[in-house]
Amino acid sequence: MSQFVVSDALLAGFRETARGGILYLVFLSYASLTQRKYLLAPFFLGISVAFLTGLSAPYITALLPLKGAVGNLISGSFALFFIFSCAALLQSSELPLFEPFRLIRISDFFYRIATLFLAVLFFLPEATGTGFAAAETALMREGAFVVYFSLAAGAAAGGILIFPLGRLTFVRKAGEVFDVPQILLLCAILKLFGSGMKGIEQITLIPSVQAGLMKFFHDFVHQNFVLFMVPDHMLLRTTAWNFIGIFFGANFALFVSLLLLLSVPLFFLYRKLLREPVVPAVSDAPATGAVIRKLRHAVLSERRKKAAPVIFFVFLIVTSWYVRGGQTSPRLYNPAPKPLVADNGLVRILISDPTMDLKDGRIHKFSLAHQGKNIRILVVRKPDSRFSVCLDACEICPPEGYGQKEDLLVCIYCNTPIPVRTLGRPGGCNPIPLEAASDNSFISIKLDELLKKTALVNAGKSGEPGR
Amino acid sequence: MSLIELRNVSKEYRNTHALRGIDLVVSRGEWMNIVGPSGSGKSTLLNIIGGLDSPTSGEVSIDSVDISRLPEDDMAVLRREKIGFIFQQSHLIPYLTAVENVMLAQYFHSMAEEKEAADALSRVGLGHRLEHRPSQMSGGEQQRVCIARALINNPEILLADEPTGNLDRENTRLILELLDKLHSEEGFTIVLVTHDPFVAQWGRRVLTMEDGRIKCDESICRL
Amino acid sequence: MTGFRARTLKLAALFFSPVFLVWMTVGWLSSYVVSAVWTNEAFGTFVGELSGSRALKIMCASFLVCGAGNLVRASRARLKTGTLYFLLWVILPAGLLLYGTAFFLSLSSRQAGNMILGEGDPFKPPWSSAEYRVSKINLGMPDKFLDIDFEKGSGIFQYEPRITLQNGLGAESTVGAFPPASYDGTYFHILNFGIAPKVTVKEVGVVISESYAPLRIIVPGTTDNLSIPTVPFRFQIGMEPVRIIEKGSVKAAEFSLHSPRYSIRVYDGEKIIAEKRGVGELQFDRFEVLLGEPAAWVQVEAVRDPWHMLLVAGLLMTAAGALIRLVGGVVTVYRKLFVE
Repeated sequence: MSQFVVSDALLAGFRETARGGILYLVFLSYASLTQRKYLLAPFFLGISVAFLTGLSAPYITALLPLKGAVGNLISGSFALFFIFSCAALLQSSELPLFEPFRLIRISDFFYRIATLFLAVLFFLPEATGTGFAAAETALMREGAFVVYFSLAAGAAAGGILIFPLGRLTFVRKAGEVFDVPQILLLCAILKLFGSGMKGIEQITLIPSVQAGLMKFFHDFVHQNFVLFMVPDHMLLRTTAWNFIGIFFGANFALFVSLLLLLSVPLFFLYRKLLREPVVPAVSDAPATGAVIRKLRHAVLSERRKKAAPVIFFVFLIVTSWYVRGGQTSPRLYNPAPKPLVADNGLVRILISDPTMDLKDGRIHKFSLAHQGKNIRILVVRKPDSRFSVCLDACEICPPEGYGQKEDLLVCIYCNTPIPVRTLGRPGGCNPIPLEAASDNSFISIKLDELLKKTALVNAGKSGEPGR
Repeated sequence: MSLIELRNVSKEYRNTHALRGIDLVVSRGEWMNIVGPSGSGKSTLLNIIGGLDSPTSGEVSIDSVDISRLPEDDMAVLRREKIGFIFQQSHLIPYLTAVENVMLAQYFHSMAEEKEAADALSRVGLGHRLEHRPSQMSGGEQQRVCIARALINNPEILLADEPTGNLDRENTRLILELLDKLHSEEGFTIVLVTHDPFVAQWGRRVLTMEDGRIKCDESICRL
Repeated sequence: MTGFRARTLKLAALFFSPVFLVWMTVGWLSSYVVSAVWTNEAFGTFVGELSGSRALKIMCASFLVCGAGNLVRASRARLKTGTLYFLLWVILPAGLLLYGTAFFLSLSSRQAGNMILGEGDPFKPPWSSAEYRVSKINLGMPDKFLDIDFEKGSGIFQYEPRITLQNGLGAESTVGAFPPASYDGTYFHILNFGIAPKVTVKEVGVVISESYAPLRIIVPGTTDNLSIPTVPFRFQIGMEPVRIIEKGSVKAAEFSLHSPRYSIRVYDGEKIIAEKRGVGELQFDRFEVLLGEPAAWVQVEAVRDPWHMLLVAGLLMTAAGALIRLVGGVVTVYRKLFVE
């Protein structure tokens, strides 16, 4: 945020107005076509509340804690809009799932409150981030007037560019394509690709889903092995193990997690595009072939229109997933390795110095250059106070190493989580343990041991089940 | 009740008066033939009723809608919904089959549906010729495809301009019998232009035109 | 129809409806996701609760009954398509239902226990009056093996130990790692194996401890820790080669299973106070550690699970049903694209 200068303020103002403007134009069209213009007032109220809160947050003591929560608010609001849109998509898929709830009458007042809430949810996180960024920059660099004027100028430029688009016919008719589920999806898309203070917010949803899925598969398969009495000692011969390796490959989990994420939008598309349309009964005209055909065409056309934003969303998610691949959640702690040297066949690591303390419970990484190769070592103090010294690689995955999330070690390649307290076991996704000696000052590892264990690191072959 | 109304309709092309002050009312379900010598304004009148041409003066109403001042897009919608056309030349798409030609009319109306098109062709006696192209059919069969195409969207008005002009007597009779049968079953209004006295005997009303004016308008008593 | 009967029928219809099934599934998924985010051990928690919590058992049973009802209803509709098509269709859902039911029943009523045993050791499963004895252990490994014999990483499942189990009547049977062997309603199989050197600890020349210590050290490079109650130190023991031949940069190391050499390292907390390699004894401070000829040990698991065969049947049916659906799907797509 200290890099936030005048151009950034202009860009931030422009971006906020552009995002909000797109949403406003779509919402206006929807409200006009469905005779719901009374929702525009709570919509504007929500925007006002969000921006007033966000821009004034740095100056109000009670709102200062919001600063640390901006990232969570942004990704959390994305997740909420996505979940709401899934619920709305299910509702509009003509499923009888919500039959019991149809007895509850929903009044206009509820719609107003819901619009107000959603508008605040959409605009508040980024407004807060922009507010804090502007306040800090104003303090450190350009002065308050320049920063806030640039912000306003950017917003005005955005407004001048975006709002006249509302006169275009296809924009005025956008409400034909956007119903409530599609608008909520649009909010999710705008969050996904237009959030953050400086640009695209990194997706956190897919890696989380993937990690949870891999854990589920791992545990489920392991439980089945217990029930079927399949032993998992590494020397016991049983061919059952070889077939389940596929479930622990990184690509499998990524694909399945993507499918899980997109399951509701895809289900909606299936219901809308592939199922036989339900044609309303003809009441005031003879039911000739032409009349029925016209009604059927109207139903199918309506379906296709409403499916278009969902198809676009699915395409965006798939493309985004493909581009970002197996990137991990930004919340993984992955320190840069510190260099080591070998002396007389021994590598020694200082347990504590002014810059670090190996006893702090976090992972520490070191690297040793040896004959053109870079060997990375990971050290962490386990809950039982013993040090776990291992290679920053396992026997299965390409050696991208591990990150730490609370009390879990997470493989950066395949996202398998491993509790820190279990470190030291060989095999599978576990980091390859090293024999090391320690005293009060140093951890010592023999170079021979390092070289021997480095030979176990897989350079890319997969198929080994994680245990 | 009246479906088609013309009030003081005139049409001029440069120095030619194709129509002069035509007043006409056609009731729902009526079969009216327009006869007259060449250049009497029969086809011009038909085109103005069908919205394919606009009058120089006067008003034309179809089902109480004044079409003389209707924008082109709205006119196209009205033509699609309410009017079917049959011409002397069949104007079938030569590289499409019979059923595809009929489905084309469905497509421009709303959406194509093969089964309905096939049923329509069966009703005009061409159930065994669905996959044949126009070049593989006789003149009479082609004209029957045109009838199926014109009626597939259940129009209220069928406008026919010399539909049997290229056919021999036997085929002419077959076509007219078919039109008569469909007219009694479905009750649409027919306005048919012909110069053939044999054709003019079909239907219930004959409008004789001469020099752009209605010369005679009489009902036919059919025994 | 009386009000009570009508209400009952309505409730029954709701209970066996697909809507209820979907809501139960969504409910379980939601609670699972919340548990996963909160505890990171959602599945373990679920399995643990399923074994112990009556409320959860009732919910699972309801889910299975609801699933069965929906299957019956769907089957009635499917039967109209013909018996053969129905049979091909029903295998997958029936298999899933069978598997789910067996999974639930198995978790609820399974009894298991495992012990580390040497040759001649007796054991008795708690649910059984029969006593068994391990009369013979065959580790299935050669006496002498090279370092390279263990394919690193993916070279698992190289050897399968077998034991001869003798029951109270003297009847003998062989038990391996997989599949489990069933005797007298109990399943037996081997979970783990290794060698147990005889560990003698002397303090000032007096033997203070003597026992066989089952260690997981037969894979070259691995070590195992040993703690002896009367001794305040921790021992880290591994296997060392009995013979090494080096020629240039090529090195071959040979290990012996029945006459091994050991590496011993003694820890006082985190500090190494003594170590030696390629030996069978080590002296440090006032202590002396001797590692004698090893015995073989196996970890045997005994399981009593009356629903085991149902579980196997359910899994096989599910796999068969999935395969049939896959083939059917491919055939359908092929017909739609190329035939029709």
